Amino acid sequence: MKSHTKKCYLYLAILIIGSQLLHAQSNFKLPAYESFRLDNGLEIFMVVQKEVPLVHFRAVVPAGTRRDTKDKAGLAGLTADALSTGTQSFDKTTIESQLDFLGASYNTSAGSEAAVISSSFVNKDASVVLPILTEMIVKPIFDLQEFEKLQERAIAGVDQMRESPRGVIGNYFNQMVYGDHPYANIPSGTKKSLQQIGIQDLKNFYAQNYQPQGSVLAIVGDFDPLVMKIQLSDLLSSWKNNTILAPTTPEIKALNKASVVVVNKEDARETTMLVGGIGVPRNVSDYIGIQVINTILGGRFTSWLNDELRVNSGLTYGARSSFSALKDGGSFSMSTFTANETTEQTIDLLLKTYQKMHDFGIDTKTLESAKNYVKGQFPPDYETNAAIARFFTDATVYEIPMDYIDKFTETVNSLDSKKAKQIIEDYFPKDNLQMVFIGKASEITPIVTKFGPVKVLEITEDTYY
Amino acid sequence: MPESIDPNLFYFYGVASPGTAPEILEAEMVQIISDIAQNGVSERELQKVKNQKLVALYSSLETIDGKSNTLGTYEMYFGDYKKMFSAPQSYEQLTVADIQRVAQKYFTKNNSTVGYLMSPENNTK
Repeated sequence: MKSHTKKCYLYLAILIIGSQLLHAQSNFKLPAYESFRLDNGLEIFMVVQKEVPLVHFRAVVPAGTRRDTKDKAGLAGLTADALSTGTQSFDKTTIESQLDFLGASYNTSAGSEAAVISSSFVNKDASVVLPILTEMIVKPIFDLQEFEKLQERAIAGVDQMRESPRGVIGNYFNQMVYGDHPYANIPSGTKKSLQQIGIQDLKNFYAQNYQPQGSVLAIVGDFDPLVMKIQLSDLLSSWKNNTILAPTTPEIKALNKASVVVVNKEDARETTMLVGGIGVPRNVSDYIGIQVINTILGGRFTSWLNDELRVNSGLTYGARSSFSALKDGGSFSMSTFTANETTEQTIDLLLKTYQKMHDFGIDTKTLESAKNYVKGQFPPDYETNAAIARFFTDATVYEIPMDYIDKFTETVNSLDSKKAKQIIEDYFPKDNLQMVFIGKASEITPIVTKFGPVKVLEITEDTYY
Repeated sequence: MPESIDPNLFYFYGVASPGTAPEILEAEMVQIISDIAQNGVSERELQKVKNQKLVALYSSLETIDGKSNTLGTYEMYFGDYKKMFSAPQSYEQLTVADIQRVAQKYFTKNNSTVGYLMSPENNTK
């Protein structure tokens, strides 16, 4: 009897520990942060994370590829690349040798929405690294020789990209989904558009788009926030705004008909395909619910698309779906690839699987499994200094509510079958699907005419429409 | 150099640019490797590598996956997981003389095997 009681206590203890762990998971929180704004409008977030003596710096400027024009597509990317090739006080060799010596990594690049200047370094080196990084943003010089090297490399990159269907398929798709909206811009440009860009274009693009108002800097890691605040203010307060207004952009128009693009790759043995339509802006209130539903459809290895197309039928090695969510809107797409001869079987099964979700919704068991999956995946998404910095800059750029992380678990938990049904209906485009097939056009075209008017393009051509 | 329990190999790779004979590339590479054995490396070069190794170690410890992997690596290959915690000091203790001594011991002609991987159209031998 006595020993039995002891055992009971032991079980009780285990249960208590267990419930505490669950409790800890459900309370995954945004780390404490401090934010302030310089007089020039630059917003700065500081997050102290003491685990390792590193610091991550991430500055985001509204100078992404959406600010490109069609005839000079690739300009935003080249401008961002050129930031690290020389500043008023530091030439390219000095930047490289100084940062390399300290083991600091750095990157400048342009995404759809914004240009990003990021770096990781050891905290004791902040006084050496920060002046270099901030000069890249505030005082780049755009050296002609370095620009010509970048341009040459970018043009060579276009050829390289065109060898891989998966490298270009999104570009074709974006033309169909976004139309006149600049999200249709080709981030890397075409050979023709890159050739039309000169060094003066970079200087103009910089003058128009790089300014503190609307930009945001997140700095995360092991540092003294009082010292950091002074350092950053000293380095960035001289950054001036221009008076040029941001360009107005057209609305993303609803798609009123299905359309199909077949891109011929004469030597192809397989067909790569992408099917979808208009998605959601990143700050849509149901974003988390959409992610859970998409997990079921095509967001994990045991998703319906991967199960049907890979596991059950062996038609492909992988099938997936995703939402690309930006500020003004986004896209939804399902993608897979298969051998030439199984192209029809694969696209039919993909569409059938998708239709099934619309017709029958999601059973409770699958919904619960997906909810657990996204909750389990969530905390590791915010482990590194870089990931935390990214959250803060994203939150500003995409207008994501600051309680996104704190409310994540609660929002996932609240998702029931009824709500799931509503989300499918509201956000997963059912009609007027846009399709891109890259492969042997002579074999694909006859199969896909049943889906809508077909336009045939060549993968080697320097255009996407 | 891969981490392994049994003795393994130290690899050097080079890709010849179009028109460069592999023998020329090999001679250049051997020259650089021998130079380390004969003349050592500079203090600044060594410090740079120490800095980079340290950043790599710290970066690996940012995630739970990286923590477990790094701890396991120290236990498995270096004999004790505790060595991970003193790795920064261990790096700092390394001198240019250590580098030269190790280079002289292992980077010898008798110790080396050289192979060329040729594309068919360039292979006239």
